[in-house]
Amino acid sequence: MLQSIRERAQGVIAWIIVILISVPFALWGIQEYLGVGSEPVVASVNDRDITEREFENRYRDFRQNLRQRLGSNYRPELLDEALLRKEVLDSMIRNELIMQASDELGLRAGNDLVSQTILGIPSFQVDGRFNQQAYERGVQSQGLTPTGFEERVRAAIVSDQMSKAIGGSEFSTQSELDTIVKMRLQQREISYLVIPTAKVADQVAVTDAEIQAHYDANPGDFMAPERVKVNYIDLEIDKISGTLSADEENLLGYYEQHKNEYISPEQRQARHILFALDEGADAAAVQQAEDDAKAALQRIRDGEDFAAVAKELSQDPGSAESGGDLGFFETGIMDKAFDETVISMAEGEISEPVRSTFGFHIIELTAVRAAQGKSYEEAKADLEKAYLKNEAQRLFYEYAERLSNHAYEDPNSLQPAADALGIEVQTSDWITRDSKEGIFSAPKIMNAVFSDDVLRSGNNSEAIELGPEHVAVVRVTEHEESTLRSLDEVKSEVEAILKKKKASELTRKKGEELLAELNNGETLPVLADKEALAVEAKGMINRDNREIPLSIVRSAFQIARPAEGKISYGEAEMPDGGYAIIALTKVEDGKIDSVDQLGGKDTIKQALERAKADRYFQLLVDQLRSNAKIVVQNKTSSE
Amino acid sequence: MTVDVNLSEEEQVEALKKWWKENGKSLIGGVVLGLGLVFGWRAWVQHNQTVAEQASYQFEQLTNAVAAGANDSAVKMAEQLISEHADSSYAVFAALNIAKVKLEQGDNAGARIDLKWALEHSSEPSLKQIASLRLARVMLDAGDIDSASALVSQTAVAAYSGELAELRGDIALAQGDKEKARQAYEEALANLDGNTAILKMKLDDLAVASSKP
Repeated sequence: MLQSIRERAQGVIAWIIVILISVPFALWGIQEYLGVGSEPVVASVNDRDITEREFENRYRDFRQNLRQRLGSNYRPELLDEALLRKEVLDSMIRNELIMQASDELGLRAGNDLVSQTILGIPSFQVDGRFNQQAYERGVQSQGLTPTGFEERVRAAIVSDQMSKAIGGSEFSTQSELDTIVKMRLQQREISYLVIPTAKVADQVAVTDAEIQAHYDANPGDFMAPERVKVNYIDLEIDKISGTLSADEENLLGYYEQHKNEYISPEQRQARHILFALDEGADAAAVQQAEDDAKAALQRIRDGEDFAAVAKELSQDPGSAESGGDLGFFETGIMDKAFDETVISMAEGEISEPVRSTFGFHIIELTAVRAAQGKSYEEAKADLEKAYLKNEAQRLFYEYAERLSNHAYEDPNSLQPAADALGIEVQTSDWITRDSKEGIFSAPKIMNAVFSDDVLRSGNNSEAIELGPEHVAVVRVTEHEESTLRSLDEVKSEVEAILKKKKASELTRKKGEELLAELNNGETLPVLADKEALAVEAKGMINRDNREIPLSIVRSAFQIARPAEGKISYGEAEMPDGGYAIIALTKVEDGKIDSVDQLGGKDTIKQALERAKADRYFQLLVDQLRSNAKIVVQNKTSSE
Repeated sequence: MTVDVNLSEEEQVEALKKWWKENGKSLIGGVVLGLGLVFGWRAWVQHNQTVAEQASYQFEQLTNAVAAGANDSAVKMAEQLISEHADSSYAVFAALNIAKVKLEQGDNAGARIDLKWALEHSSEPSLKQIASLRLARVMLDAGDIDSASALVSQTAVAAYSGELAELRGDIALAQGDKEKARQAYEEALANLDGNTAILKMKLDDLAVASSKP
């Protein structure tokens, strides 16, 4: 039979079969090289994928960065996680767009540019010079290989070139500068009068029917918000430390364990002269060094200053300059032979040459600082504090673990968790989404309270971390949907709204009548007299004036410029419902000589350029975005 | 080439030799051509890469010089970059950068030449649009309103329509046509995001007395 297979396996068909079989073998594992389909993707930009892993890495970096930047102000519970994730993804898409564009423009960064950049990164430097180990460590801590890092740097250089090309070349022209000064420092001469709501108060009446109508027409304005009552367990380290006390035995044990925090050992200060020897130095060299040392010692014994000799002869580069001084040190830090000598000396004594691994030393003990510290009795108050803090921390983490487990295992009640911890379950009053009392000021808590799992399904929340040593678990006990408040409840509110509205309509009507008279040639002072209102003459004002109501200033700069010798009129609504009439008599444009009022020419120029550069670059990105195919998977919101 | 299994060894060798004689040259030619194409292509890609990297390096040096305020040498570097790598995007970048330097030196005409060069040699729509906007601004500053006006009457790349409208307003104002300027500023306001404080001031300054009673 084998023979017949052999014979038949010669034909064309047999070869085809072999080839077909070999295809899967040849291609096996090729997706590893092509990198297709293996990883979950959060977004794609023109078919270039941003993987979930890349995104999570970037997001983690971003959080870390934020933490470093904010320092003690970093409060993770106040951050809107979903928003941050969206922003991070957005910036990644933006970077990707810029990178693709730079690629298309043929932008490249050569190896010399890449290495120059890497050499200049401060965190890879030790003592101001690039350090290979620091580099490798730094790169590794970012989870990259040097090659991977170099590719990143390459991409960053190229993107940076894009922004330099557009941002760095932005300018502002003299006429643009002139315009800014002209506008920003423009002054206007105004006077105005205000028709107050009091003037029309007697004409304002609100009927019950009107109140009813407004109430019916605007139910959205009179809703009582959705509210809940909450049971919660609030576990905070301060509460734990309050219940703890320490007995003598605990404290003694703690003292023994942490002795070095309370007692500092004896320290000695010495200076030395070193005659250095290499590790494998031959006998002649050793002899030479010893002879040199002895000669130096003799010079000192003959009365020469130790420091001067050290400065001249010592081959210890660290101390020679300072006369051989080594400062204070504890036993165990220096070379063993050196240490033993120092310990055996009295203050002021100078040693014979001592052989250490570095060579021969002549040592002078210059000072002794006795062991310092507190005995148990002396340290007791501090000890108790430290011990309790330590103990509270230990208990806190234990309790937090227990709380989390119980709350999870028994999702329908907080009681088992409370029993296990010996803590009371606390009960809140009605809480709305805007409540700010106690733990409810944390958005994390609010998100949990109003989450489906807690609000609708009635489960315990997870243990929510509110601070480094503060967790809480919440559950909803009562829930009321948002409801319309009854008319009785809101009647006075509605009435006030309607009164103000009517009053402002009336002042406006009055104001418009007056404006019409003004435009027919009547003057402001005459009208004011007639209406028993006061004219406020303010003279020249600028845009930043804060003595006059804001709405009047704003409006004053929107009135048409008056013709020569004429007056232009404008109006403004006051926040309280009053109505202002403004007379504009003169406009004076800002002069370039006054540019210092705006911080000087260079400052404005720079600000203008930066604004323009940012805008142009933003538009470039917008343009790229509108021409790109961007697909965002809805995965970024998941934890 | 088919090998008849019934032939003796010598005959097979003979057949092989014959086949080689007939087809050998074209086979070698084909292989040489193929290898030539592969290596040639790689060399070409490599060459382009090297050239781009050179231009890139020159551009970095140029921006460093500009940042250090070494304007004269920056101008020289830019000229060198532009002449050596005229087809590269870096030449456009250099032209944009050097236009700023020249403008700051008071050389309006020189700046216009560089911006014009950038406008004509850029293939990327945004870069082209930015060069065009800047050229018009420089023209306006020099009082060459007609050239500026001609330039901004061309259609904008979509994202830049707001910027272009604002510039059209500035130009109309320089021409003394307040009504046209106001319309342009209004159009700009409708198309611009971000900080529009200055634009609003310019627009407010053109207000006309309302016709209502």
